[in-house]
Amino acid sequence: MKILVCVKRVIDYNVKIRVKSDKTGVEKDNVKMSMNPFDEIAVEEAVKMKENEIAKEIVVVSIGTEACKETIRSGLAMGADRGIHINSDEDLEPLNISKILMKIVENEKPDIVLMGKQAIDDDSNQTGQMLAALSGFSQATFASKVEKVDSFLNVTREIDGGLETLKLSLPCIITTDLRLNEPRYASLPNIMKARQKKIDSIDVSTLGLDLSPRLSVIEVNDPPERKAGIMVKDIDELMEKLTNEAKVI
Amino acid sequence: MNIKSKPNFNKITNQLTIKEYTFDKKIIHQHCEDWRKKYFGDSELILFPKTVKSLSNIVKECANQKISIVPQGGNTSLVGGSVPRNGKSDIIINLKNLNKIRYLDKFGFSILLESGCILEDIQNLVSKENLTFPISMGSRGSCQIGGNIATNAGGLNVIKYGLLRSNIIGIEAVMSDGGIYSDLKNIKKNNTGYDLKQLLIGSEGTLGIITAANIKLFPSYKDKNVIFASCNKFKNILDLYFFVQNNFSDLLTSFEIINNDAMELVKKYNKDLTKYPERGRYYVLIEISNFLGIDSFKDFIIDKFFNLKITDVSLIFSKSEKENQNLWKFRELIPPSETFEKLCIQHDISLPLDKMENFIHTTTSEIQNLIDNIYFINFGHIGDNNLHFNILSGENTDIEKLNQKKKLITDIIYNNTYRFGGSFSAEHGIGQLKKKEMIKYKTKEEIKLMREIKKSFDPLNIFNPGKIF
Ligand SMILES: Cc1cc2nc3c(=O)[nH]c(=O)nc-3n(C[C@H](O)[C@H](O)[C@H](O)COP(=O)(O)OP(=O)(O)OC[C@H]3O[C@@H](n4cnc5c(N)ncnc54)[C@H](O)[C@@H]3O)c2cc1C
Repeated sequence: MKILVCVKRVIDYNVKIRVKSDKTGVEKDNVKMSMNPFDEIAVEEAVKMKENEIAKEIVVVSIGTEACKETIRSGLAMGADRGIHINSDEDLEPLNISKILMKIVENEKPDIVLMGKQAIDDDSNQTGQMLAALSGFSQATFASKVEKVDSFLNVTREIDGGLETLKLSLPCIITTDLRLNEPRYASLPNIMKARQKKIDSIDVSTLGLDLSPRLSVIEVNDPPERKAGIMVKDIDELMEKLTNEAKVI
Repeated sequence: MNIKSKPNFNKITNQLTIKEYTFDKKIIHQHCEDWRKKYFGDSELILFPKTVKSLSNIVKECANQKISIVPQGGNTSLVGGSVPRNGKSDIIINLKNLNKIRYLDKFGFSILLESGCILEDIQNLVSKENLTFPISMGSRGSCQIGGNIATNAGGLNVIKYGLLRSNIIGIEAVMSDGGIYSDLKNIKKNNTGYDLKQLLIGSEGTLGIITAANIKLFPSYKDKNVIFASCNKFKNILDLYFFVQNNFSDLLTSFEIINNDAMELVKKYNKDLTKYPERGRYYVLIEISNFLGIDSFKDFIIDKFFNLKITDVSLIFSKSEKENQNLWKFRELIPPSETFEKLCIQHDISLPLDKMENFIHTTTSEIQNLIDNIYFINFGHIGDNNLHFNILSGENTDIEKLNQKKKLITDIIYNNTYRFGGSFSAEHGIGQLKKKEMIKYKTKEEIKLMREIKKSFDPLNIFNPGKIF
């Protein structure tokens, strides 16, 4: 079985985000970049499936600037077999990413596509679902457990009311949630091995896709600052404030 | 008997506004107890002066009346240096209100600020300007820069920036006659006679009250990467140290060791840490920071590690800031985890790197001959020769026996430290805690010179008497 894992290079989760002064986006220069944490979980899951002899080959794909190769190498160091880098300097929206990934799916013919449920930079939560629509693969989002049963995959998903388990036929697309696993550290020998592994580079313009944007960002703003709390004297004052000021009662 | 006349506090408080002093017993009490709750002194008056001028007047009056003074910063001293003695009528001068930033020189990379500024506030202010303040430590939320200077504080980044001493450009202080010593020129080169500020740095409040300082700033970094090593031989640690120094020089910001007992202690009390490095007798945490704005910094680091010829070391590389923080926890959670056991005997020592292994080996076996079923918690900023050598009780420890042997154990540790060319106090100073060791391990000549300096700076012995000597 072959698994395709999609990984995105994003501003590190622990970095304080700063909005650009002209409000066209966020400051990306001189900030730490890492693999999207949900995608890291997807890589870990793929590697586990390989260790459990469910999968034979893991291919990691990333779309973006040259620096994405570093993110791919992170995936290779965790245990993936080879990488594909789609070179593009544009900020691409989820539909366009899905179209590009569809091309890769056509070429690679994976049995399972794994990716994070969303990227922590734009929080779109769309790419997996759009790719499922384009490819016609079965789909399970927000996976917290994946098990192989005969020729199917049982995927447990986190939903509002609790947990739901889906039985998927292959090929399929699974998007991962936080509780699926805890990604491993990369060891030096594995990082060394990763350096020998192949990364194919494809320029996005050679794919023959119409990638013109359908969305335009009007303005990016900081979230409103939270007002400091106040101390109330007693229950009466609390009730008064809740009723008249906060207007929640 | 000669009864000392009651001090006339009015003449002191007259110099201040009502908000700058108090006789309130409750408030004073908080300032009489040290951080570790080992020293409880007493005092009738505490002052919080707002200006250097009023501080100078107060000290002049104290000198007139021979009233002794304890200068106090954030009161985080770990050696009882910042609290008054018992029954000696010391007054406390706390510097918290002397907390103005006088000048930030972005182009000269320096900041001129007053003693009462809290370390963490300074760090935050400076980072807004995309600059880095050269020191940091666990007590940063409480300690004041004046206290840091008075103890020549070390902390987490000494390997990169050196001790605080090497980052001080100038100092202003009130001396024992109330005079104001000022050497605040914003210049780094100044060879004009004795460099007097060096004596104030690390003087623990015994030579003068530091009121302001001009301190170096540094460029900030883009990101950091942690590498965590497990190994079984001390030699591996030294090889690794040599390797990272050679390959990363200025980008190396931490090099910390942790021994196996310390690692197991952290695992025992922090069950939320689930991913462990491979087991070893020793662990090393290496932090490398991207001051050059390199784009693919991980790749940059890994390229260098390709040339690592050391075998028998297993290494893991963090992939994100979250993993950096998780790996740091194995180091940072050691001191809090120690408090969960019944007894911990702590020693903050330093040793030459090439003697450290022999010291650990010799000292450990000598102590094991005295008592068994104890744990040896070794960790520290080894890049700066600093080693914490702590003896910890466990479930099967005979606590009574360990308590009896406590003094003997400490003597073994300090004697061996001395024998191997180390220091019995690496970072925390002398205060009241290590006065005996001071006499025992310093040479007669050193003590004599120090006493003479003390006499010439403070002939009436009003500044922090009973500390250091
Ligand atoms: C959790 C924790 C972690 C720590 N980590 C480190 C560490 O990594 N490295 C390290 O070196 N230390 C460390 N320390 C010790 C302590 O924080 C430092 O020594 C710190 O620099 C003391 O600052 P302070 O403002 O609290 O000074 P205080 O404790 O108030 O005073 C310390 C000494 O300086 C004198 N003093 C204070 N202000 C002045 C002044 N303005 N003029 C003249 N004398 C003055 C006092 O009289 C006293 O002798 C740590 C302490 C704690 C509690």
